[in-house]
Amino acid sequence: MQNRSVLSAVLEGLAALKRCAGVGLIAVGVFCTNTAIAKDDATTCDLLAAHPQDPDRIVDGVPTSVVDQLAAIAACEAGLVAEPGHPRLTYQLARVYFYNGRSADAVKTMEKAAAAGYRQAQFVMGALISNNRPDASGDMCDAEFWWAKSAMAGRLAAQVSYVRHVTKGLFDACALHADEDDMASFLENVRATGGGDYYLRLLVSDLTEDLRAYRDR
Amino acid sequence: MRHLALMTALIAFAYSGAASAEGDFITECDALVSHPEDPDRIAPGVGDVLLLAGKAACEAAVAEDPENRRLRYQLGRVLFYGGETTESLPHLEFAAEEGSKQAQFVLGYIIDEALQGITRDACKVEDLWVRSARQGRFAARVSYPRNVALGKFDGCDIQANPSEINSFIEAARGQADGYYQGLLVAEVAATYAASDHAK
Repeated sequence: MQNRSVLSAVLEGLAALKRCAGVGLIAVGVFCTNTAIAKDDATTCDLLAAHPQDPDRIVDGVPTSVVDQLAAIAACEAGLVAEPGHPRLTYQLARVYFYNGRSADAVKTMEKAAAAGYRQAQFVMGALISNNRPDASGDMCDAEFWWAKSAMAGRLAAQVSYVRHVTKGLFDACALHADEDDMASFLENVRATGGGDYYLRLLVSDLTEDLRAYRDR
Repeated sequence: MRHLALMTALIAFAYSGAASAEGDFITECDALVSHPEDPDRIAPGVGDVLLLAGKAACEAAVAEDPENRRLRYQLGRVLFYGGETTESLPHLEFAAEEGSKQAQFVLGYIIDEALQGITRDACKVEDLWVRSARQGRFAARVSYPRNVALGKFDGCDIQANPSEINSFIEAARGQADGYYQGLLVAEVAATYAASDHAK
């Protein structure tokens, strides 16, 4: 029941995002802001700090190795002065803080973006926690929580990571926010949208077997 | 415009120092058909191959240099994409026999998947992939241990022993590019370690 309500909340959030996009405004979490940057207006923060694999980026993205960290931090901090709490800019600032070695700032800022409903930030929060990064909580159940949210919102990396961690027993001590049917749908989504990548296809094939064994356990 | 972009990419690639150290020059076949993941390519690599132009370019290049395994692989690639399976196989076979680790992996892949009506032959795949893995091709270094662990090579002479298979996995761990490849290597490592074949 709890799982279903999480799914419902996420679906409602996605519907709200669509509504926001429909009126040319950005979404913050599951509601629109009427003072927001127009949907397609790329800021300097976007140009300097967008992640190439962030599904909600509005520019191509900058590979990690070529991010101009100081310029990007300045641009994203300025962007957030103009648009306080903007989820995408908040995530991008967190990203660059992390590269710049400002671990505590990175985690705190990433969590803000995640709490605002930004699925890339939710995925990264889970990764920071599961990889025991400095200043992250280190509690695998927090990783479960963020990855479930990100996976429900359609982030492929969270979808495969969530299934992998559940089937490997790494979330055994946690209350799961996605059930077996949700996990099957995650893998189906990755299979359908993964673009035919050979390695991703192998991974999904193996995780599908792992999920079958998990269901039969 | 497309040609301009292609020329720019080729010039950038040539100046990057990645062009062949063997003195090969970049042919139109390389420009139009080389695979982005082929470690032996001498051009940037193309995801969406132009079938007619690519076929014509590679046929001409192979006519000029029929013993060139890279060009033969690329001709095999474009013919296969065009559905000319029977015509493509001799070129892939030649390139694989001449040591193209890309052709070894790809030929093994299409046999393993029985693509386009090709007969599945697990032991031939084993032989192709072990050679590709020994030469360092990432895809073979994950696919070979995975197939061993899943029992897909049972009944074949498995040429790599557990120590060598673990060395493939360890090397793949260092080669993995990006999040999904890293997860796949971890998954293959766990699957192989848990299998009877690892003992």
